[in-house]
Amino acid sequence: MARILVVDDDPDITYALSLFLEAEGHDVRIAGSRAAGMKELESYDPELMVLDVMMEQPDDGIAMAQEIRRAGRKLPIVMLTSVGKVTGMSFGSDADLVPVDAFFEKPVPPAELLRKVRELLEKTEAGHARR
Amino acid sequence: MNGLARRVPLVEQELVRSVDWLISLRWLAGAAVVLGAPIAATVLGAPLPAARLTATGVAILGYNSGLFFILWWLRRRRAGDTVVFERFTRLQIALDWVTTAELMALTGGAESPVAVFFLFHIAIASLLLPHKLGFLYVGLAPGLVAAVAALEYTGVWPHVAILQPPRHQDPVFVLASVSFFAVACWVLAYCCMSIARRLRRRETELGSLYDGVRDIASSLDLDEVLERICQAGAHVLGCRATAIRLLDAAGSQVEFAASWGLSQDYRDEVPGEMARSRLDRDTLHDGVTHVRDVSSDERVWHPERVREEGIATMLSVAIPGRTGSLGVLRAYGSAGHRFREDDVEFLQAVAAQGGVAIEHAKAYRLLADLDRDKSRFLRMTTHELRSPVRVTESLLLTLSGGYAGTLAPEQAELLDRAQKRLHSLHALVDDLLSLAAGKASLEAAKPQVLDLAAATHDAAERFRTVAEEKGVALVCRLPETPVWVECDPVDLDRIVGNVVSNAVKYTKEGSVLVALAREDGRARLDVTDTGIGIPEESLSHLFQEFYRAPNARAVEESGTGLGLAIVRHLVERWRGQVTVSSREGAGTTFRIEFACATPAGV
Repeated sequence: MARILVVDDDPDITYALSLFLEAEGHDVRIAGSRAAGMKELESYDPELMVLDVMMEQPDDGIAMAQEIRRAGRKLPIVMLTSVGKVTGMSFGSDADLVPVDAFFEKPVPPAELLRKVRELLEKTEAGHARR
Repeated sequence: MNGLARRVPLVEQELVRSVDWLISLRWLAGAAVVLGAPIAATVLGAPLPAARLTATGVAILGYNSGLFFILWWLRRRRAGDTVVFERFTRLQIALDWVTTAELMALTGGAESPVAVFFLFHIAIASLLLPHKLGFLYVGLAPGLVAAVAALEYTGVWPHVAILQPPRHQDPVFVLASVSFFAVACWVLAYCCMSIARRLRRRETELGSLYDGVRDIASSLDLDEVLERICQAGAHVLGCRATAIRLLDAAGSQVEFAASWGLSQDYRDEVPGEMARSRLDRDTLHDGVTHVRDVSSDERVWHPERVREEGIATMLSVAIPGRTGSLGVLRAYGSAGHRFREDDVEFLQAVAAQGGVAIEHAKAYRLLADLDRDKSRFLRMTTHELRSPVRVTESLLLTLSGGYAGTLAPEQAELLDRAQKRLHSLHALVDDLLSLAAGKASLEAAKPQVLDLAAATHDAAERFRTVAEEKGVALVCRLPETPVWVECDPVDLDRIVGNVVSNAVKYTKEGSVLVALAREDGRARLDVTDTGIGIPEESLSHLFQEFYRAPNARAVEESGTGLGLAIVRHLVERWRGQVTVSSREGAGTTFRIEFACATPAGV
């Protein structure tokens, strides 16, 4: 299946994610911070990334996604948020601001996330095939 | 000041009144001359040129008519323009003096008693007109008298002899009359001017005190209040500078809190420790200290530095507070400035008002700080409370999804129950926090003009799937054109979402109708369902926090009872109204109303 990088500073979330992503047959690598995530991005070269929006800084995830896009990487990014409506932050309307492919609010529903991952990977493969 | 009408100083009010009075008096004077001259000449046989006197009297009445109309015009067109009234008064005085000189010449020159009439105008001018060049102006009167006497003495003008023998060419008599008259003029002017100056000064002080006190109390911002106290103090006393030094909570430091007219360097260099600042210590202890000369007063810290700042004298009073002095209000005078006894009273009055304003501002600042801390605390707790609940839910979802191995039926059942309870906790935490955050962040909300029709559509569509799964028809009746209301987008979404969600949740069969209409400048959103309804006794409690109607509990066990409390809070926050009408077993209508707004750019 695919190489997936999970970047989140919460070990419980990364544990749960790696359980169901691996159950689906993916190869999962965990990074606990933005810096570690950037390093893995180079060495592990993932095909898809699951990224938490808040790490040490409240917008680390967004900044990291922007950095990845600026570097010209097009791999699909799934962003996890725990902010939601209470804080008044809403995403999705501005693709330039938050250049990711999908949002999931915690708690992460495994089946839906897996479906989304499958869909995004297929799209990438189709893109590759056309080229 | 502050856009309020300028208070007209007493002297200006008096000036306008006296202009009126002068004109009235002049009618009498003119008439007296016109009638008096022939009577005196014929009946009493006084040796007077009656015809020329009568002509002068007519001239007086003539120019008085002119002045009368000018005054009438000024009153209508230039009311309140003091400078114009001052000039008008000077014009009258000049005309009167010329005619008085003429009358004097016609009634005996240096021998004439008419010269006394000059004194009226001198009193009026000295009391009511600005004192710039005042003595020079007053000098015109003896000048005219001297000119008449000189012209008659030299024989240029003919003398009307009322005394026998005539004395108009007696140099001693002429010199004595003129000089005594001049001295009388100047002494009178000096007396009137000094009285006027004192009264004006006192009036300015009272006016400044009034303005200052009004301004001091009109702000709740501590820095602004302190600055206003300084300004008021400097203005009232007309001194070089003022400063406020506030006592810290421990009573061991006095720090510059505000100043007016002092350099930053000076502020930085003055010691803050009470132990070193004897002047502050004494002021706080005695209430008042007066340093008449900084060079020779041993209480003054570093006299050279103080003199370098241009300060020669200091007057300090304590700023009273409810439980003791708050600090020191000090006025600084430059060389030559002398603080007077009543300055102490004025400075104390400013300090007393200032003390009240400072305490109010401090209390307000404390409240604002507390409020900010509360908001910050809420924001932090939002994350801290929500995060573990959501992570645990994620873990359990992974478990129940079978990604950690297949579960036995009993395990799955236990897990399902745990997840349900956890979900309730999740909803409770969200609701609690949104209610608390909403209450705390009132000032953070930015009003926007939003389309209620679009917001209603978006919110209602989220529940379409749930409704369809239950077999409940969700019908939206929305206007084609936008319905603009002033709200915050997140708040508006939560208001509509909560009401529609409730309608769908408590309707087993039938329909939910979401209808929006405009009526009399109000936007009216009705959400009507054919659900379980609300028992009559529950209606009055419905919007209370944690209240749940008994039949609602039967439908869904895990509701938090906060949804409608949030709705009401949010609706009222945006100056709207939410009402409910219901019949148990038949259905419910929630009505939300907002005032229609005008979108930007229209």
